[in-house]
Amino acid sequence: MELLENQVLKKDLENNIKLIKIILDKCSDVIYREFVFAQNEQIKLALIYTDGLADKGQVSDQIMRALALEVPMAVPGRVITKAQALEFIKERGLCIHQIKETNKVGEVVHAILSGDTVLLVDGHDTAIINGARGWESRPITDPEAEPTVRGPRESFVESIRVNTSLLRRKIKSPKLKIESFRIGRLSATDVAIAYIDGVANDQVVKEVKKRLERIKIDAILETGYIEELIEDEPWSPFPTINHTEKPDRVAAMLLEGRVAIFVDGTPFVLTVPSLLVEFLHASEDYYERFIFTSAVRVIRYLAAFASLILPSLYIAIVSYHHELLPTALLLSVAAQRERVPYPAFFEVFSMELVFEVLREAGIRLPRPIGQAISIVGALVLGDSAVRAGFVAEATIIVVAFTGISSFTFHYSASISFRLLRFFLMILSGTLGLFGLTAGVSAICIHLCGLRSFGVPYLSPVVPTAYSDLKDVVLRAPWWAMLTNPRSVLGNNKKREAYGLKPTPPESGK
Amino acid sequence: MKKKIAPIIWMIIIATILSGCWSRKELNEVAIVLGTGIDLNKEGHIRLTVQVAVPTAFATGEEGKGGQKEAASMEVSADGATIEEAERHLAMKIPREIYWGHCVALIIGENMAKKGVRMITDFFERDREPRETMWVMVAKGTAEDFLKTSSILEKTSSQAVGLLTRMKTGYSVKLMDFTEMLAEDGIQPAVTGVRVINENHVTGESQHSGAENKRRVEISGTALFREDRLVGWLEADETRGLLWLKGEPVEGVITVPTPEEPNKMVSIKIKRGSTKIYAGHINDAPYFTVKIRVEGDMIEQQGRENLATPERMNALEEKMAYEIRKRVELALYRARNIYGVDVFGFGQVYHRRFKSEWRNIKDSWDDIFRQAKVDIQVEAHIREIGLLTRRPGTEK
Repeated sequence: MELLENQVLKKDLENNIKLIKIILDKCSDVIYREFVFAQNEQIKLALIYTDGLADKGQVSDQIMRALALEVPMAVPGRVITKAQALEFIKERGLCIHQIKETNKVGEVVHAILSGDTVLLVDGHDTAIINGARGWESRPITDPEAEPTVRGPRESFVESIRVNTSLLRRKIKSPKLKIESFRIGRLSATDVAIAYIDGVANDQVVKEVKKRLERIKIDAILETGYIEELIEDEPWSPFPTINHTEKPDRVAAMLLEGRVAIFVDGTPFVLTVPSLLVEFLHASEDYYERFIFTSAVRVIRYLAAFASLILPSLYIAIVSYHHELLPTALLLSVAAQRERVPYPAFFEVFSMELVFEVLREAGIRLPRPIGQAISIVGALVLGDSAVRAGFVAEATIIVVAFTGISSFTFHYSASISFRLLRFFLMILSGTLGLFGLTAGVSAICIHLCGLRSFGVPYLSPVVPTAYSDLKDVVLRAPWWAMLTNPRSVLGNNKKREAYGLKPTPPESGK
Repeated sequence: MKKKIAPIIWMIIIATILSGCWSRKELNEVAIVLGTGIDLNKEGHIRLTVQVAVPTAFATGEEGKGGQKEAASMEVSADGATIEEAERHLAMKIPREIYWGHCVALIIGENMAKKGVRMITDFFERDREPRETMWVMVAKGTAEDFLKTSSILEKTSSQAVGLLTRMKTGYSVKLMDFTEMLAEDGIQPAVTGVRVINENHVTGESQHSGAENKRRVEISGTALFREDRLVGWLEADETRGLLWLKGEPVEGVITVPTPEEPNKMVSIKIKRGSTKIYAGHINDAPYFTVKIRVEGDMIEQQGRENLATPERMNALEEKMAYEIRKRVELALYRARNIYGVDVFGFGQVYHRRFKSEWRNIKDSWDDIFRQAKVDIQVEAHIREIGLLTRRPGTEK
């Protein structure tokens, strides 16, 4: 098979078709259409395409109709010899925007399977690949995983061409480079990296290409495959590669000097390098006014912190450090815990597990019954557990708040926070605040050592890039965002003119 | 990398599993002590009384409302030669582990205080659970009786007395301040006094039947110590004088007669005040100048005269200063001349100023202090008298 694919086309049409048929044996979706050239009936032509992938309207109207019927109308009376045929067809016969020539059988086969239509001309060892792809695809819809109140509502779809076009519509500059790769022995998935020449760090672009070229795998079905194959620290619970389904977010990332990786067949796009703070930011942060955004971000950071340590803190205080609570609060908690038969650790741990089950069920459930189950889960389970005296009200409050907090920021980061939460709960359940502190320290040490494509994961906080702190917890107004982030690029790049701060017109003039 | 990680993982596993939740105390396994009382029993042993919170009584919601009102606390007493021994005996009566971390008040019975408190405060300083910020007070009568008195507004007598102390109407002393006063030369300890009062004469309380409900706790004067023994008491008025002398932030009211109508009174709320004590010598004898500066707002006037004139204001301020000086002198007289203790810390002031002289006289300080001259200067100001300068019916 491999041998066949490495061959080149012959001049004999019959032979070529036979060769392709051998390679595409038992592929019932491949269609072979043989016909004769209208100008000279001696010349046989063959169209080969995959049913469902090629745009049938284009194939029949722009290729077959043109070649089989309309060519004589264009140049009446002219006689085309076999030797001239290919050149003539290319120049006058095809009404297709994009054509390509090849003489390699492998390339022909790939073109057919990718949705292109291949035209073979008798007597020539060159095939014409017509870019007439057209298949059923999902329309561009609202982003499901990253909803926003203000900002673009479109999200990527499964087709890489549509996705890159969405990006191109945001950045209409020749500096936006989109380079294509093909990864996957069987899937031959189109992968593209996008970056802005002159903004992105060349080293990072080179590194991304290097890591992508390293991949030898049978198939790539989602960006997750690539993420795991190219990330810096595969054992870390933290994601070192960000992903998004919003074109505006990708555009913003590229403008800050990052590199995007598009994969055909998925609406998610990877962006590298990624910093921890990115996961706590939303695209909307840049669309809302900066005062509001800064306030919201403070809340989001606090929520992220709470989602990591709140249950463990509760366990540690309730089972080891009663003196940390004010007397009145302690008595109230003590009153609730009075009926509970289990230690606080077991209680919180199991309620957290219950919450995770509910969350997982909420995702997997068929839509129509989702509502019912969440009511059953949240109300019935929580309320009954308290009424029955299995858990204390305070525990429910802590677990519920923690659960809600973990949804205030990027989903993939919240997964790692959630995992670490269980680790911290075990530590604080056995060693109290000491264990919690040790656990948090361990996480901090780990974070300090992480890198994403050469960029320290905690930057711009550690190591501190002071000019980048304008966009961490607080967001500077747009007229003050003078430079691109240094931590991503390695150097500052000016992004706007100075003195853009608007002022009211002088009065009296 | 693998070699580095493996020992760390083992360390974590071993640390968490082998320690086995060491020192873990679930909330429903501890008896939360809210107040501690220490008395001297008839055999001369320590009688330790703890007020332990009954958590279910603090529950809110359904279970708190219905049915009989549960007692919020229970008081348990045990005897022993030391506090720790008494605590061991208590453990036989309380099925949970005694937890001192939230003890608000340490109440010392009068008899115990007379015998000496150093032997009992040690436990509360040394043990790691009790807080050094707990209020220390001396009960007139027994501490046990005091703790057993219930409070209407607060759930327990300890909380009630803790909140009362926090109002700083009396001379509130924390354990750490008390031990500091005990340890230092040139000052003798003084702590707030508390007592149980019967309010049987109060009418209209029939809904709280039974004698128990008619008993209340209240702050009452100040207990004066020589070294660690109780020697006497200051009354409420004299306590104010003590507070002025100590420079404690005084929140209170001074009531003085109006300049023109002596039978009508004016109340002045104190806003801020400061006290400075200067030490000196007159004929080789210690001599002290106390400078007190007070600012206040007039908040009530019974009479009808217009006070917004410089003369009347000055007269009023003078009366205010006089009133304060009177109280300070009263407190000084009681403590110094009757009980002969320097609870004000004059000795410390002297020590700071005259280091070498202090060394010679520190052992006989109480006697020397008795003879020392103390000059009290009060400077009082009234800052605001409100907008009602001309009340209806005020003289024109």
